[in-house]
Amino acid sequence: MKLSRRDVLRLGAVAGAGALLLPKKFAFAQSSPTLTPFVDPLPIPPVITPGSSTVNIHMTQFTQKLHRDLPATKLWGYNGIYPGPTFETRTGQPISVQWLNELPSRHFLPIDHTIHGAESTVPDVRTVVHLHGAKVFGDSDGYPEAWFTNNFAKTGPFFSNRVYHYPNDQASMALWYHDHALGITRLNVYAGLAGMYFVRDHAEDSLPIPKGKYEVPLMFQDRFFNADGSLNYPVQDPGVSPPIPPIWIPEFFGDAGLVNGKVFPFLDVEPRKYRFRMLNACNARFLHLTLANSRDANETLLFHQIGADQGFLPKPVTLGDLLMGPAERYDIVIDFTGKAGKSFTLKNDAPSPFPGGGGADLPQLMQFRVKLPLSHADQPLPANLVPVPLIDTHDSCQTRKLLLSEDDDPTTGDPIEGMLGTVAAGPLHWSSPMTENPRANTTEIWELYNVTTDGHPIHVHLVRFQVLNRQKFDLNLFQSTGQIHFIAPPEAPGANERPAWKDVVKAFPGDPDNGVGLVTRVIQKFDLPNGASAPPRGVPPYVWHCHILEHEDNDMMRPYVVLP
Amino acid sequence: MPRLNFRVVGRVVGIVALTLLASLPFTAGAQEPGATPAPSGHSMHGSSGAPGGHMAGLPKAAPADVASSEAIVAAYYEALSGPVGKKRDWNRFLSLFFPGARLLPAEGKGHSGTMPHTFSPSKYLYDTESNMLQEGYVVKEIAHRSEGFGKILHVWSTYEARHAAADAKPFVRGINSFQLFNDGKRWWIFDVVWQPETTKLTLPAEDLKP
Ligand SMILES: [Cu+2]
Repeated sequence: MKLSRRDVLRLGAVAGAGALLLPKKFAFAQSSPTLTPFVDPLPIPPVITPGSSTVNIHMTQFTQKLHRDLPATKLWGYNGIYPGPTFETRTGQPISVQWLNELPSRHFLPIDHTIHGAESTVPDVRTVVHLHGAKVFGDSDGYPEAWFTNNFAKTGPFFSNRVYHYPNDQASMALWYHDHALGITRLNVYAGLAGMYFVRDHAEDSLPIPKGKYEVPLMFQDRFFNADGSLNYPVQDPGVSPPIPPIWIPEFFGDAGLVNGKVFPFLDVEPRKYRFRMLNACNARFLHLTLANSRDANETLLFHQIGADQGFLPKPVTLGDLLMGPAERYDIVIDFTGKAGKSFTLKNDAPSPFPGGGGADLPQLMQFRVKLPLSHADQPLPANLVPVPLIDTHDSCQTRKLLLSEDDDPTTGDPIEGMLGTVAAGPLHWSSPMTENPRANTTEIWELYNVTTDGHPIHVHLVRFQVLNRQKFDLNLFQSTGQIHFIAPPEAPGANERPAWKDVVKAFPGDPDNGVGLVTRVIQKFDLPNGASAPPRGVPPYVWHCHILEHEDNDMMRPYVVLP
Repeated sequence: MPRLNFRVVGRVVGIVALTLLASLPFTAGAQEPGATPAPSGHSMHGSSGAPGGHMAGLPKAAPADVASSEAIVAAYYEALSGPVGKKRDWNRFLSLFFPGARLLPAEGKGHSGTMPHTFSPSKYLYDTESNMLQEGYVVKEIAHRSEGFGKILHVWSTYEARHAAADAKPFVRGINSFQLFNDGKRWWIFDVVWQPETTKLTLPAEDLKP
């Protein structure tokens, strides 16, 4: 469309006025400086292999170059790097870690003190580390109110011990560690507090899959940058006075895609198979990934998925695209055989928020360049990997009907907070009495009734679960009467969701505008580490929550307890 | 033309989203014991957007509420209003709307920060009721204009909302734009679009004249 001179003048006048009126950082209609893609090589975080003595990990502030054309960025990270070091551990070999907060006393990202647990009465810079996917006791799980400040000067009400114990009583899988402090998790993770953690076992050792330099971790995140290289985390637009809450935004979506802490990096590969340990570590963004020739979008490569969040699939599943919710891990083999001389771009077209859209797009993440000579011969992928026995639904001693909802402002219709709850009791707060209390070593079905327009990646601490199915229900009837009536048969999960061990499930919405809700069902056994029949006395409970960090921070999280 | 662009973008991502959801594997009657089969003969509860659709599931309106355009607008405000802790009259609220009706808070920014959410009547009340129960929400009309032709009527209604009826000042004022439809027997609300005042937007004097 061609603009007339009058249009241009008018738009210019509006833009000029806006620039005067608007505070510097608010509003979502902002963008990072233009950052040329694929000019920085993909970094691989250093590996840390703990032995029998306690490992100290230091959380510090530092600066790091995240793109060739961007000045160094102020970050918080583990052991002075972003992302943090990758842990290499073995099944059955426990490790101990002391996480040390050596951060400044002031946060450099915008805290909303109206959010539960982030009141101005608590220290701004609180940290507590959760190892996502770990089967641990509550005193090593990083309970959101077990936070601590620099040098443990102040601690949260549930803090009990400085050293965390990870039994590694679980099969080969990719876990990740990140901050989990109540009310500021989104800011602490955004600042850089995240890293990966691998558990490996004999079953994995014996599989003929790409290993060593042919196994590459890929941690995906999105960010906004200011021209000076600093991180930009937007605050609420005060268009209606007073906005509720005043600072918090419902979901963060940035326009700069980072992989292992570099913006739009590239990786030179050999014409052979590679194993990529993919993690969606974005605050809120779903990723719908495809891999296409950078010069010819019609030439695409397939994803051979060999594992999910909590370990190997029974057989490889071949997919043309991947839909990754926040915190999900995908163990993916990509075969570059016969592609020497070509480059492939990892592309994303998931709407943000998912599935409604409207937020910043992130059309690409990184590039693979098939330009290294083949140095090691390749093997075909095995037809069978590691058995995943299906949990018998008859083993379930209880079905819990749980609610995913939100609380909106009557004036703007905008979210005030996310809510979890039960179908019977309705939406509940973090501070409401606990409603989920499974017994150790028992199996339960959890049904997640989504009455919102958003997809929510739901994570249950401690356990691994299996996705059963999804089913539509009459949302208008539920909203007006609390009754559940299903309006379609159950839908089978995706081939990479079942059979599979998971700890995050995408609880998709139905079609709320047309009166359709969607329930997602998972089944899980509440096993404690090393077969324990009860948690130690006095340890904090566990939590289940939405892994959109903005939702998690603003009440879309509930404590749950495992009873003896 | 940023506004037009947004609408187009919204449409396109909506289609992408639907395609993504539709591409999820669907096995009719998958044999998962965890699931309850759909009850036979059940009809959707007023969720069809088609005129003359499942009207049977809608709550029946009190005749006085839908006898005139002034009455239906007044009933809308009354059904939404109440002090802290007062459960809203769901049946009365829902009875005012034609199937497929929509509510649009134009100043909203939604989850994306860029586009307001639209609501069905039951979704609007469900998602906002807890805030209204907690804070109190009493809304009333202070000015009313309308234009109509045949079965259609457009009401331009200036409102103000207080947390409690006795509050000296409203916490927000604005315009509710109602599209009404008369089927020959009663009035229906087909949509409500509203614009609250903001830090940069004040109601003009003519919209404050009763
Ligand atoms: Cu969520």
